[in-house]
Amino acid sequence: MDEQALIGSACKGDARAFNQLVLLYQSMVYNLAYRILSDADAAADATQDAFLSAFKAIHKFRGGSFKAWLLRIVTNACYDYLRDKRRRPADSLDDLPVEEDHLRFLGGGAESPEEFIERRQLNRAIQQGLLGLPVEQRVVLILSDLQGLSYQEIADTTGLSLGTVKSRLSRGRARLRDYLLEQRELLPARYRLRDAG
Amino acid sequence: MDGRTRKQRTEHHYVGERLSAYLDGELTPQERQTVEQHLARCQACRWELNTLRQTVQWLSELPPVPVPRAFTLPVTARPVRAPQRSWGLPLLQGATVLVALLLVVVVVGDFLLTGFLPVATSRQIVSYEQPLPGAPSSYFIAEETREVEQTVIQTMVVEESLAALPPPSPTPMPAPPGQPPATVPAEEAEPTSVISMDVQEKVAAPPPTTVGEGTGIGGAGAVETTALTETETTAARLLAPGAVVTETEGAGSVVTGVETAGVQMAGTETPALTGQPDGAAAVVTGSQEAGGERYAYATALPAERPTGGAPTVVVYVQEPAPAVAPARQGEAEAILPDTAVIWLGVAELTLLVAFILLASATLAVMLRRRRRRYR
Repeated sequence: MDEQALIGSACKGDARAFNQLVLLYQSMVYNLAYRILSDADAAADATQDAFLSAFKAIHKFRGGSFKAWLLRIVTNACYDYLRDKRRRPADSLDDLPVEEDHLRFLGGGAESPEEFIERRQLNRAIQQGLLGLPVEQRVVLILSDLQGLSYQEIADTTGLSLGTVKSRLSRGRARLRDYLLEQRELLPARYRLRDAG
Repeated sequence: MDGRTRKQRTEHHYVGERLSAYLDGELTPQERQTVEQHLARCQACRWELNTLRQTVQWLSELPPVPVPRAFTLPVTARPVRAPQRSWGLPLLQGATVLVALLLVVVVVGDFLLTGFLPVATSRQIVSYEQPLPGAPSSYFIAEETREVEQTVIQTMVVEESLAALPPPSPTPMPAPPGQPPATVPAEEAEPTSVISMDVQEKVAAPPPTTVGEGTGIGGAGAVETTALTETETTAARLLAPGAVVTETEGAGSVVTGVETAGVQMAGTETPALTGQPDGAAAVVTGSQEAGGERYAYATALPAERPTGGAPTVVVYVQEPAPAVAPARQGEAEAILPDTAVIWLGVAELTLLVAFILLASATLAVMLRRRRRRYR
């Protein structure tokens, strides 16, 4: 069954057809939520909320990119979560540990254990750097460089203009680069950005 | 500054803003050419580009996070299912508005009905009082043998309901012989001036004087009002429609003026009677029931009246207290029955209580929903 057929069945109330769509997209949706929120539990909640909202509103889907439509829903769910977080600063995002438990060294891969550890250090720094970005820049950066969306797809997902997508991406990347420069001394030598000049 | 020309600085800035898009191949051919030419001679921009490229590279190499569980929905889930509470609030709000409107309608209707056709008005049917006990059984002028030009001027009081009144008659109804002339119903002349007349004996009357023949009052002795003299009858016939007491003032106030057929006999022009309230201007000279209606006749007092003698009977005009004074004889049917008033009140009270309950419920739901949204 192709995606359009699944969407058509889901529109008629077929939850099984919709669940096939869920299985297709849940990794993408969850990863986006995880990178935006940097919190596994919150990301799971946002993902579940997003799929539930999508199923209830699937009759409003008017063709186009189902992926962009889905990402838009989960992005909004993340915004809602962050807005609620801001109202309860007691457990703010800054206090949450960056969870990297999923990065377990499995062995047998291309990386040595040392390389794995060094890579994990870098990834933690990147996740912290992302967290330090304004959420608008963070979302665009994740959609572009993690999800691999084109500028047009990002514009469709976020509802922003192409120019805004471009400038937010440019500033977000530069800001993350600057963060990694600051953290340079804490990073393994192979992951240190060289100074200008 | 750093030795670069202004044009170079502008170009540096221009290129710096486009390096990110250059990495993604999102520049126009012309933009790309400009950027590449600048990069060839600007080391800072080359460093900028390289670090950006490295950052994007590392970012894209972030490993995907495994999903902690499947996010499939229960197969019983139904799309486009309106949330259960979505209809509750609109329903409450609608009911509140509806009850409020009903309340307004009932209250306004109640006000209009009782304001313009009040029950009290239907009771303000004029009554005619019989003389007080102890007073002479008839109404007189206790004036002795005085040649007084008297004019029967007034008036009649009706005990019928407003609705039962005959249409206004342009001329006085001729009185049957021996009967008091039919005069214009007071309500016709001026409904708002409907009054009851209360005859009181103010001063102990000397032997009552007969209302004399002709134009004068002569002789002594009481005259039964039922046996009206021809003079009275004649005079009454002269009454024009619209004879009405022009001024009254509360219960017990005196007749201060009488107007008939355009002749103003203001009470203020009349010397005060001895021991009487100022402005007493008329006396009742007779009463008669005819045709189911009761009439009273008042006689205007002359402007110049000698102080001697003993004018004794004074007409007091009493305005019945609205809604309280019951009609003495015959009470018109209330336009609004008492039960209707009671039910109207019950409806108002019920609607008010319902409105308060609904409004507070609506407010409670709205507040709860707002809290939930911000949780």
